[in-house]
Amino acid sequence: MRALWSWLGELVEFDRELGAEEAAAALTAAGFEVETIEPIGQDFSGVVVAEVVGKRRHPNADKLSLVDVIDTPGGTATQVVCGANNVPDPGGRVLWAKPGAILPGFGEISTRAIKGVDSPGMLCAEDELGLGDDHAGIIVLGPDDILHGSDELLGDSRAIERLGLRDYVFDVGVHPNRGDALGHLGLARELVALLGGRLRDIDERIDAALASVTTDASQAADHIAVHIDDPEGCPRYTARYISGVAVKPAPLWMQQRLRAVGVRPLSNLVDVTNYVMFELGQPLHAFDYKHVRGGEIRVRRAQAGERMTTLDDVERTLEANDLLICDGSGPVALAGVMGGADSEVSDDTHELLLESAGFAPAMVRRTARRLGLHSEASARFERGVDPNLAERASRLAASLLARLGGGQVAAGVVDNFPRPPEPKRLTLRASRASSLVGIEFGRDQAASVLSRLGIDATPSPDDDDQLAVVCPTYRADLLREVDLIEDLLRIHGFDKVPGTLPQGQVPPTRQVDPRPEKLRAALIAAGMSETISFGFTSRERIAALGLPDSDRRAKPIAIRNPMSQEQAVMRTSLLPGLLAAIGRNVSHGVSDVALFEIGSVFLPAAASSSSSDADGSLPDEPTRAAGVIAGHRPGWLTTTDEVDLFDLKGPLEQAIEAALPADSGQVSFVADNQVPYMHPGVCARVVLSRGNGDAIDIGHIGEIHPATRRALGDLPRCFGFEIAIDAFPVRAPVQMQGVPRYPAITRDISMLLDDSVPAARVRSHIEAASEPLIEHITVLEDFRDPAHVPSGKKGMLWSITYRSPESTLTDAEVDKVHERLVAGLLSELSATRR
Amino acid sequence: MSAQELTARIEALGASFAEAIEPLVDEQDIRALQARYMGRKGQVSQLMKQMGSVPGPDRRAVGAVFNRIKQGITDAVEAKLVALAEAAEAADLARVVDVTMPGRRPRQGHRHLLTQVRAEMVAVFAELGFEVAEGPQIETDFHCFEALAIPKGHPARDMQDTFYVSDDVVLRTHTSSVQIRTMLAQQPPVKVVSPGVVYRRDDDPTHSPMFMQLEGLLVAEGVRFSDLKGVLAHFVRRFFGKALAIRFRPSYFPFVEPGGEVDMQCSFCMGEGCRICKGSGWIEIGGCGMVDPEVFGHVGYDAERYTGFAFGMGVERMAMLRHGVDDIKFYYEGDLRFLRQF
Repeated sequence: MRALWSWLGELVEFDRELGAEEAAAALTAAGFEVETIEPIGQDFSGVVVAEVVGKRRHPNADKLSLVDVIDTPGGTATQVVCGANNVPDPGGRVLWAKPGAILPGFGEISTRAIKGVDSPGMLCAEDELGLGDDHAGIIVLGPDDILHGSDELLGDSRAIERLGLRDYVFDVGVHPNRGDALGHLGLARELVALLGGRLRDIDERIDAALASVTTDASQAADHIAVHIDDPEGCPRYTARYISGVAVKPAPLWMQQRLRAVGVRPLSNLVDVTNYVMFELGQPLHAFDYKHVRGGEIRVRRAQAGERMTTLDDVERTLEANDLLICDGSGPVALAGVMGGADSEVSDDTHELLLESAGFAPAMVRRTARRLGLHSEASARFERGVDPNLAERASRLAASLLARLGGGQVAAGVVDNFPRPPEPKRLTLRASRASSLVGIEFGRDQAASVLSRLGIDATPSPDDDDQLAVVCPTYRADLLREVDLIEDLLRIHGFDKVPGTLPQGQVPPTRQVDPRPEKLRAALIAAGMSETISFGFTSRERIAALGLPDSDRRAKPIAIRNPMSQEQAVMRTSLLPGLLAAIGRNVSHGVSDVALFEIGSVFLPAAASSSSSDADGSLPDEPTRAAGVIAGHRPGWLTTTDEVDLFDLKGPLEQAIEAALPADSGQVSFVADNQVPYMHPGVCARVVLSRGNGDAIDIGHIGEIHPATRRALGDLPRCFGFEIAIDAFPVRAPVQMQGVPRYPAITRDISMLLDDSVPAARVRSHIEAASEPLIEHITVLEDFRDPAHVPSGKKGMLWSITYRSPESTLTDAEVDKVHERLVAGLLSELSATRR
Repeated sequence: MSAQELTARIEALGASFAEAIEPLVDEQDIRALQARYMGRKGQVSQLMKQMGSVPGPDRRAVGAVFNRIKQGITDAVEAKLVALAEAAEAADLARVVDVTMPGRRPRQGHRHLLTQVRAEMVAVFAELGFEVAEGPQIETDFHCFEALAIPKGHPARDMQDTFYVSDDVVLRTHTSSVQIRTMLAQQPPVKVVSPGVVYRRDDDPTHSPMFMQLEGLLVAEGVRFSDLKGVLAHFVRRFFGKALAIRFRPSYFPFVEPGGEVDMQCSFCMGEGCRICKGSGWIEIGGCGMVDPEVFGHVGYDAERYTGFAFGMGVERMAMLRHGVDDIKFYYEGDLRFLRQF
């Protein structure tokens, strides 16, 4: 809400002189954040009101005039050259920038010759003062242009202020529960509570103005009949009849104020309704009476499929929940949202029907949102406009319409008020306020703060802690005791509350899942960098994985209202995001990439889901860890080899080892050529065997398939893994194993065997031998040089470490065991010694 | 053999050893030489066998010569080895390495800045006894809005434009939904912080459609607004390590009443006014307030007996304030040029 300092000043009588800055600071501290204070009319000076006392054509130019002006009553005339074609006749008032004046865009004004005639200064148009963009002619002041006071403007050093041309605009943040503050009146109330002073009596001013423009010749009810079919949607509807109006521009000050608050001036009739809205917070609508058929207003729900054209000339299809203002034959306005094109005020409007009504916030909101029609009016109705305000606003608008439009107001108002709001009655306990806030509030102190806000608070006769509070109907946000406590605290000042630390201990109840951090720390230690990607992704990126329809990951959860196709669905795998990051890094010239992410993926709820929501309506959100690498192995000084699978498998093994308790499970890697996004020959399934004999697949590691790399943007050769970590048993504290006391002895086995025998099989055979002295098994070589190894075969060198916990082993003891082991191995693997 | 003759041969053997060891530079050669002379079948031992032929009275004198020569050989070997070791060490010490060449480094992994900042934030609140509670990112309308006193049609839904999955399922717009889950699952006292990513339909240099929040909740008997101020003041001091002032401004969030926004003294200019704080000297760090009784109603808590406070702040903002990250997008692009700075 943009508010003008001068306008607030009209509504409040302050106890003392205070400046715009101080008022803004007070509003900010009370929850109405003044984001900016923008001075207007501060960038010109030396401009005075002048009276034209004579004019004639410039001797050397047809389009220029010579104008004689005076700037004090009875002063000496000065001749000024003027290019406008609207110079008024003698007696007319204009704005004169005298020599020495400063104008925005012109700098200092001096006397200079124009076509051979000296011109001391110039007569100003709006744009030359920085007030608007109108350059059609100079500003000519009329009697209505004086905003403040009735004294002579000529010679008054405060004339510019009295014309409303110099001011401060506050840009005020108003929270959605305070619809009452979307008018100057609401902010004025806050200022009174915060800074002292009192509200001026608006009604007195309005009634005086209205009395002077009312005709008793006819009653509003003679012209208008109002029926409310939906009193829930429309608790009140008032209508007035004004005749004899003429459409013309509103006076300068009104245009000026509307521009300052962000509304484009249109014509006197429309401007008045906006002006009253900004003053009181009540949106109004002026209908061209001749297009309100039968002079009849009916407020009803639309029928589904009903159509009307709004005043932006768009035909709207309505739904059953839309609230309509109709005349004798059909819709003339969308209640609280926008008027209809047919009944719009136009140049040939002479009679008005002035609507000032209350509409249900939820209905206005629904219609405005659905149609994307957000207006100043709908913004206010959505936040709640006090129905008690409608009639007052109608009176103020009628008086201004008649005064500025030259019309006559029919006596009285048609006021259909089926649902008058009940003032909310509440009890406030000073003790509760004190204990909730943490500072002592006395009952009298509380009563006084509330009263300053216009909230009626009287001490309860039979309880010395309680106040009986009657909330004004414009404060629809006050519903409970705690709402009053907030106001108390707000006006008292949040900053006057000291900081304390909570008393009492809260016993711990929960443990953090340690697994993600274990994995993270291990992957970082292994040289991989953590990234975090958006939870949403594109369908294309998921499709790049080439998953079959039967895979849950192929059916991502869609966002109904995504901001872009790049963010259309929730990710079902972390890999596409990581792979895309490889592409971005490569495009930045960073080709050696090792990235990982630990985060949630989103999968349609499985039938027997462990979904976090009891009613099963939520998808599964398992946690995954995924990593990718590309480029070269880190080397020293020279470029080294390109990374391969094992540069990624190592970090993964270390991470699993860090996160997985040795005694509750074991991970193995099984060749898998069925993963559509992995190279069929360079991919392993990661299998977790848990203590009780069951084995589950927890993910894959492999070289990313060329088709997937192409689909994600021609990525270089890269490798990835993704594993589910929810299946990991939570690790118990590591138990110390004891440090060996006797030396170990190592023996090697060098074999020639079929190249199809995987290392894992060799290892499992060694393990299966269950030799108790074996401490450690390592593969040292996988040797396939065709010069030395026959085709279809490979050489392997394994190293076995033997140790006894009870004694120092002798060579003879070890040789015996080792030879037995080797003999078994050679026969089971059909291998030969090398 | 006469004593004189044997003595002469022993002396000759000693002299030939001295000659033989002189050019040797390798320990193995020296030991081999030593063995050739001193081993069981070495030349000295062979000569020793001749002692039998020496007349008895002379044997003592010849024995002494044997001993002197054997000692001489042993000493010569020791001296030679020491000299060689010294020479080797001297040669090694003459080596010069270009120490300005770069070090040989393993690949360095980096923890994401937001993970670091989030962990530090959690740690500061842990000092005050807050535990971590987490919840799903795809949330029911009930947990994300209804139970937080934001029914359908409430204007506050505009304040955080929401991504919808269906009519009743949304991407959570705040981790306040975790407050609801926590309170539904346990009775007071509750003292938790909920870090996690949230989603709003916003995308510009200061907003990302996904970002990370940390919310706190304390519900117990006798929790006061002043406690909220104290906890947040403690956080700011510990997290920034400076005695930065904080201030509260009233604000509106449907699930807290009274509700406010928290500003802290700008950590860049210490409140003098700079580009970061837009000259105001203050930086907004989050929203907070006393838990609204309506929320307690939704989770079945007795709002007369229990009071509580809640607060929320952005993890990216904290990271920005501490580390000067000037574009929120860097956090989510996996750009190693950014990631490896932290």
